[in-house]
Amino acid sequence: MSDMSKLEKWKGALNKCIRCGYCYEHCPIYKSTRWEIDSPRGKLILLYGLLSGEIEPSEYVAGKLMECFHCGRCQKACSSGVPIQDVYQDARELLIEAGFEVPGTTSQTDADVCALCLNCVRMCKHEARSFVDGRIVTDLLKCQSCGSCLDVCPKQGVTIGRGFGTNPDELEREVAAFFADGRNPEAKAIVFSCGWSNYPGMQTANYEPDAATAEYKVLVTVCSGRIRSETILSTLDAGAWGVLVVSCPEEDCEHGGSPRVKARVEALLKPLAAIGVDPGRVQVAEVAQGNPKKFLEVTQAFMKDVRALGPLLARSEA
Amino acid sequence: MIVGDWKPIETILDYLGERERILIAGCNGCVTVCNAGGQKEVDMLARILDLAGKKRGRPFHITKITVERQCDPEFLPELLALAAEHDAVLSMACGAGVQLVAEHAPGREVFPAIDTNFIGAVERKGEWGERCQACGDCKLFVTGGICPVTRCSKSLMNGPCGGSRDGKCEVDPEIPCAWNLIVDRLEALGRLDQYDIIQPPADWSKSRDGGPRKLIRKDLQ
Repeated sequence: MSDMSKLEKWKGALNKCIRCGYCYEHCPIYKSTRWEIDSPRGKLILLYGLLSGEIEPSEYVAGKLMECFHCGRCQKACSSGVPIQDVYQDARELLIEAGFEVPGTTSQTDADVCALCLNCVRMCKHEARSFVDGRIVTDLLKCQSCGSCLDVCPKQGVTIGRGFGTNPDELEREVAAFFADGRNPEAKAIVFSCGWSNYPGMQTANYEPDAATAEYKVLVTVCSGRIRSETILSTLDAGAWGVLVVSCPEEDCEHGGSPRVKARVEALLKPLAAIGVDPGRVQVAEVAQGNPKKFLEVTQAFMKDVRALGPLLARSEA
Repeated sequence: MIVGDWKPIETILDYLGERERILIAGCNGCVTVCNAGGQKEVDMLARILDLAGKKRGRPFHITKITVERQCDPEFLPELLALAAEHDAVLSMACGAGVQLVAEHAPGREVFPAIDTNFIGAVERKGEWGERCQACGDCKLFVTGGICPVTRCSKSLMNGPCGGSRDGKCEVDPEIPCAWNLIVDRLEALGRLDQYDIIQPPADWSKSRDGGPRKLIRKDLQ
């Protein structure tokens, strides 16, 4: 059993948290569940309990600590300057040492399905995946839960257990609901948005006029590299007139997701053009972090293109 | 592995013509590993054909299946049973897989969805290079593990031609001269003596020049 008193060095940092709750609105996990325990504040209190001995290390506690998209927004928003990410990382290490290896939001490979193509190993910018004893394993401390490995797997053998609305099946369900018959008669497009660059900005700026939200839906995908080609195609097939992927500028993306999604869309545009789908219907736009004005601009420009192009499929066919 | 990539969609649509009930068949072998014809590509091709059919106002009825290997008859029964219910099979396997499915599906058209390109290896992520032409008479032992048949544009067996420039091939400056690679490697291995061994004319009867080849292993029969 690992000694949780090793968290002692963070006691001062944990004491600094004044429970203001500024971290709440910036955390994609909390935004998804709305539970205190999923907020950075809640997790810091949990760690305080571990340090004081009032809470025993457990799978539950490890799971909460492993549920994180590593965006670091909580830390930036913290009014007391608590180095939340560093505290989390040390706590994770101790919990793993104690035998609580809970995947949380990290990506895992199903060994029964895996073709050992090694694509995920090669492409991971964080070197979190490796081939060990005949199978692909994820280093729980290195994986940043960006999900860039989801699309490169040829067999859908890479999965993320806790997606908080960002997993392919969750996104595809949202898309299907948005275009479901009669629900949103004005529905035209889906905007998949990188959570790192835009999500906080989107929330703090009331950027979506009501008329626009009826026409398009913004789905936050954590990193844009998480968007699978199949998700883009199924969105068009569900009835979207167009799909916009908003990513960080290439040089800003810590996960290599931004150039990857661009290449993915470029590869899709060729077969789509061959079946008569205008390239304007699937676009990628770069928006730097904390620039909701730019986000609105690129979205409006895209919607202008999409409205001009009209429906891709007759409503009854989608 | 065998490396392939997608045929243009317009070519595939030409093959399918008026046929409506299409079975898209993937393979879990080489084409999965090189991301050309596994389950993921089957899903993507199905989506694209679905969109194409809806757009033209005459939808396809698409069924998907991915089998362990299309080049082994034992893995085909489920695929063949489905094939019988469809107008055509669109196989995403290599040429060997497409042919074996066709052999076992009399009366059913089987079309290739990918082009089989070469036997190759991963050079870096997302890049494959040709390494073997299956000539049937491997000479790698004498050339430092670098194949002159495959990697020399002229398949020369006794040193480079006059088109070797600064380690590159005259056919394309992106192609390394195979003989330059061979000499560098033999030198590094301290085996330049091998370079002096004159290779007799190759026995191409073991390659394609002897017609389609066959391998029989009685110990496995």
